[in-house]
Amino acid sequence: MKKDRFLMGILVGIGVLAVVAVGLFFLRQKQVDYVPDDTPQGVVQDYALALYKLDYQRAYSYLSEGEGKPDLARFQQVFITSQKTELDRVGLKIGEVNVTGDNAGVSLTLIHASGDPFQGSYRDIQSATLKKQATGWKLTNIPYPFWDYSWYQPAIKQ
Amino acid sequence: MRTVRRLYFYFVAFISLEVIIWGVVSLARTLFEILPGGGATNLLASGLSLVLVGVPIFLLHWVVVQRDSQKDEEERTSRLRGVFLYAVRLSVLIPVVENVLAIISRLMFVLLGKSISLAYIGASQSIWDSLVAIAANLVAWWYFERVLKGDWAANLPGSSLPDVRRLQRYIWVLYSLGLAVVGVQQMLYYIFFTPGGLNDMELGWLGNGLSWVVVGAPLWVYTWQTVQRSLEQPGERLSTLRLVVLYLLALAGVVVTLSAAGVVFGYTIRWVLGEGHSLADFLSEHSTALSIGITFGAIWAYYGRQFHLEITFEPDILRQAGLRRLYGYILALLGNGTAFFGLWWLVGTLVDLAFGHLTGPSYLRDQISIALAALVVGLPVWLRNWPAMQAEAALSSDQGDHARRSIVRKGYLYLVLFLTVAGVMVSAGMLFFLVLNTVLGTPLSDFWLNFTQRLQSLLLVLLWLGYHFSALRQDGRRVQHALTERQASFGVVVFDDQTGSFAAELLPALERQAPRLPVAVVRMGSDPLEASLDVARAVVIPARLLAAPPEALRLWLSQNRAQRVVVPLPEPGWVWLGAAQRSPRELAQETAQVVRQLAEGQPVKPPAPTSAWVITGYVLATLFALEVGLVLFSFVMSMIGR
Repeated sequence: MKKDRFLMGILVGIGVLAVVAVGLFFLRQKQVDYVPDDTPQGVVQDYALALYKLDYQRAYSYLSEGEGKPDLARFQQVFITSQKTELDRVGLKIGEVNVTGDNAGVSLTLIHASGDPFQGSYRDIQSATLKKQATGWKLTNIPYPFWDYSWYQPAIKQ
Repeated sequence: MRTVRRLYFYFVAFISLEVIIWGVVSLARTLFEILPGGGATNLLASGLSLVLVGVPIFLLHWVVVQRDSQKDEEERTSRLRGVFLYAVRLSVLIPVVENVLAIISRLMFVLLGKSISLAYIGASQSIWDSLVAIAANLVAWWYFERVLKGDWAANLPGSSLPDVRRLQRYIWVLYSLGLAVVGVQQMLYYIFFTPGGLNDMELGWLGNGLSWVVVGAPLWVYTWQTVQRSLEQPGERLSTLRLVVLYLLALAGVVVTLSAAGVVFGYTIRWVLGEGHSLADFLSEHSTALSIGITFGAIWAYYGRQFHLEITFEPDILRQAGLRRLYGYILALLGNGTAFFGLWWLVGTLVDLAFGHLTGPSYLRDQISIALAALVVGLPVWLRNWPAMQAEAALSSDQGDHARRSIVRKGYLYLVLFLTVAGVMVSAGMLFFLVLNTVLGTPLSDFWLNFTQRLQSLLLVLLWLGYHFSALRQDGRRVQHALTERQASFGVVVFDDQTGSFAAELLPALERQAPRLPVAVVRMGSDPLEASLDVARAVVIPARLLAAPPEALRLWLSQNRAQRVVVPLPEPGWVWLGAAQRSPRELAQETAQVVRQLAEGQPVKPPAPTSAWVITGYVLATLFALEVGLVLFSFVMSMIGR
């Protein structure tokens, strides 16, 4: 192997790459904290952060009151069973806010990590909607996997 | 018959062995799994049933196989046995590697503080699952390694083990290289990607990248060095398998690298032309193309160099040139197509601009960037390879002769001709359609814009067609000139009996195959042969004359060193082994073809009998090659499309 300098060069390159990657890991580490939840974007950020930190009680407190609101157990169940894995694969960037009276829309960029090598990630621009209620801004909708589509559905009358 | 029996026994032994291994793994996992709802019972039941079924079937077949191989040397040296033993080795060691990777991935994600669900491998199994699988497979490996070592130690003549071992080694090289490539690409992706979301999900790429590199890179270095050290052994250096693997790696490297480079160039040009981006955003958005391009660029650089080094070991200079030629023409074709596309797109954009059809600066920027990126990538590749191929074909030496007549060059030229002719038909058709519609009273909107666009397409395609057609014609002229000279200096003597019936068939065939060939026909009698025949470079003799040669012929043949072509004409009471029964006319045509090949200095290739199996094999190989090509093409297209 000593004769094959090109191969040695490739191995050294891989080593340097690994060191740079680990170095960037330490440099990029930042603690993301909760922000004041008196604004629509604050509510969205705190809701998403609470889900990432598995603080389901806190996340649940940001849901709006209304017909079809899930109870805490049902809310938690969604994230413990099926959507936990999906949440791990999605990054969230909060964009601009548009407030109209008691309703607000927050632009979101969802960054989805692919499950396969070479596919990288893809971005998806969506929005969350909030309503101002007695206790402040509350979520009425936010994209999957932060939401379950069975919530707030009117009950089927028999 | 024995081959079919052998195939049955080894195949069933292989399948039942896998059933046993995974049955044992399931059984062992029940020791560690505490599954709700009867899950552990299911695991136990499935493990037991696999083992109970697998063990007797395996023993039944393996005992027979081992007994046969001890009794019969041919069984022990059979290729199927070699394939079985090395296939078992692969089938047990690859799961070991995969499970080691699963364990390392799990540990890596724990160290990074991220969920294991982000791991590509091992997300759904525990460390104990992996350890159990490793142990079970290693036990099987240990047993079959002893069997394999025994076969090597026997060192029987005609053993197929060296060939199969070579194949196995290259499979390991490709597999481990794949692991290392994924690892490096993932790390590069992580480095270029700018995080910014609430969730640091990008750590998934870092975790996977580090794990795959930790496993893949050392394994690749080990397997590749094993292959390189083996080159001192006979048959390894110039093996076809080595050449094919190096070819595929070099080509895959260059194709993917250039595709990625094209994507990056396109976005770079857009950036230069004013698309708003910071450098960090640019790197982050195009991290896929950048990471793939750099990784495959390294593969291209290393294995391209290995490939060119390897060619220099080929002792036959003409074969060396032929090997380089295929590589060169593939790159020339890719560069040609890409450069043409870039030029066509650029001219089309300029036409749109001239007619004021472009809606906004960002659209213009996009169109120009696509065109320039294709030209920046395609032109250098084409210009690096095509002129060299043209220069080789222009040589008046043997090498030039081979280059002009090579099937690769002909394939390249005719393929380009086919595509350009099809392009002419399409563009001319569309132009006529536009004009005729207008003339007949149903004009399309933007007539002059569409007319100019279609006209420019037609003119470009005609330019390409004209250029390559002239290259083909030039080849034809040079080939004809060289062949004519060779044929004129290649005297042929045809010996026949007094009836001259064979010569009567042969002469017209020779006239069709090689019209400038000087031919003399001699009907054998008792007279001595003329001295002027001594200059003949080839003699054609019916086999019956050789069986009972007249004295004059015997003396002449003993003194003359001309190439002999013996024709097995049907003769009552004689059976010519190794030659299929053919009519005198068919034999005459085949003889004329052989004489022409001798005159032109080509290797003599009498038509081989084709069996249905051979044809089936060719068809299957072509379909497989097409499938591999399509997978590579779709991978490249998906990257460009992103």
